Amino acid sequence: MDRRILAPLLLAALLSACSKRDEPPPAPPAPAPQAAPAPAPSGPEATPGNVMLSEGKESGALAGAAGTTGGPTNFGDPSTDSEALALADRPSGLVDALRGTPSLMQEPRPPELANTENKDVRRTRSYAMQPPTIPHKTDNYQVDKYANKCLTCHSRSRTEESQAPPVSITHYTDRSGNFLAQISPRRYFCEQCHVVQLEVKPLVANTFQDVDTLLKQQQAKPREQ
Amino acid sequence: MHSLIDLLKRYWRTIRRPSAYYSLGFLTVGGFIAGIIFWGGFNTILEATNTEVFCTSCHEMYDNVYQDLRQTIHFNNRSGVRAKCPDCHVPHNWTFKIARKMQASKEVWGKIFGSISTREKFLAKRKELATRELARLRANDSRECRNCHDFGYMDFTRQSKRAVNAHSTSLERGEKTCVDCHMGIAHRLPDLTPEGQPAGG
Repeated sequence: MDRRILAPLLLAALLSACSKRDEPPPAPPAPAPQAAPAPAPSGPEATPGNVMLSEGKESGALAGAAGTTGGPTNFGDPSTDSEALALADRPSGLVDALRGTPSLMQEPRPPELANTENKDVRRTRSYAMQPPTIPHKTDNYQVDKYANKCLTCHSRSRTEESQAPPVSITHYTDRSGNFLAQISPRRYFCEQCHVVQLEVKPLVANTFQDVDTLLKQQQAKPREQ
Repeated sequence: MHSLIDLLKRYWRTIRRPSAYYSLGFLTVGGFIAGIIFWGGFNTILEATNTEVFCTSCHEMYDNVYQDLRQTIHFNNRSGVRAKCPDCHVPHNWTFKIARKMQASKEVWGKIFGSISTREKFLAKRKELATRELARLRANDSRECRNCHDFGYMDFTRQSKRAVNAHSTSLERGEKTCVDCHMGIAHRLPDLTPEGQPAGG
């Protein structure tokens, strides 16, 4: 058989297999994957958040396992909600943080872009060795072999003028532990570790607790006994 | 040589002599109209060379510095107010503008002899070009920035903390000028550190 005919056929078979598997288990009467569903106007009772909550209760433990932030990632397209949730309830518990939960045939609406937090207030580090996050905008900061915008304030020699926290001494050592006069090349690209923050709902749930919290819990237990 | 002086003498005599054929009215009105045409023409051409389309009509500007500008907030932003090449690189005041335009004749020379005709040549010369332009803006207290960003109308309560810190102290006292901190906001910076010193200081 000609390969050019075979390929589309195989693709079609694969897609139909996918869509069958994507069909939700009994619970919500979800339609088969629609081609490009138009965003339907949603009343207050049908907002994505509400739907998610009620579905989460029904499916119990599995939805809970998907995360503490209120279930699977949802990009807010009301017409895809029922199916999206059904997918997230699959036992695998996998959530695609980039696409959300809609099936392959659906085009999820990405979340709106948010502005970078620009309060200039230093944030608590979650653990001792965490690279501190950047509390200001860094739009269009040039960091390349020609110039490093971050270092115009954060370098050792500019600290008095800028009152910005100077780059840590660890950044002046090479991998053998030798101290250098300048920032080590392996530490030159600031935004590999230090990042700006945005006020958005996390795409992936996180149950991290810092060591202080854990210690407190440990200390609290013996007293209870 | 002798004949040249004779020629000049003849012209001088003609210019000094009162007009024998044209009336005073014709000469006055004609001179006025000619003035409008020549001065208007001069200004029109001057303004035509003061547009972004003209600046980016050569590949040196279009491929290098214009592409830098397109990434920045001075090109693309929430309100759609933007800066074009001459807004920053040509003074708005007439006297300074003419002075800068005369300096710019050197750029025609550069174009003809291809001083930055390739990307490599441009990158090699970039430090010199950037240093010169930064020096110009430092010397005139960032006059071209201030055409739009007027210090007197800055609302510190609408600025971020560190912006207020810098603007209310060094800038207000005149110790620093705009480009001291805001260099490289419209174009990528070359390595401006002194020879042989790495960029991470």
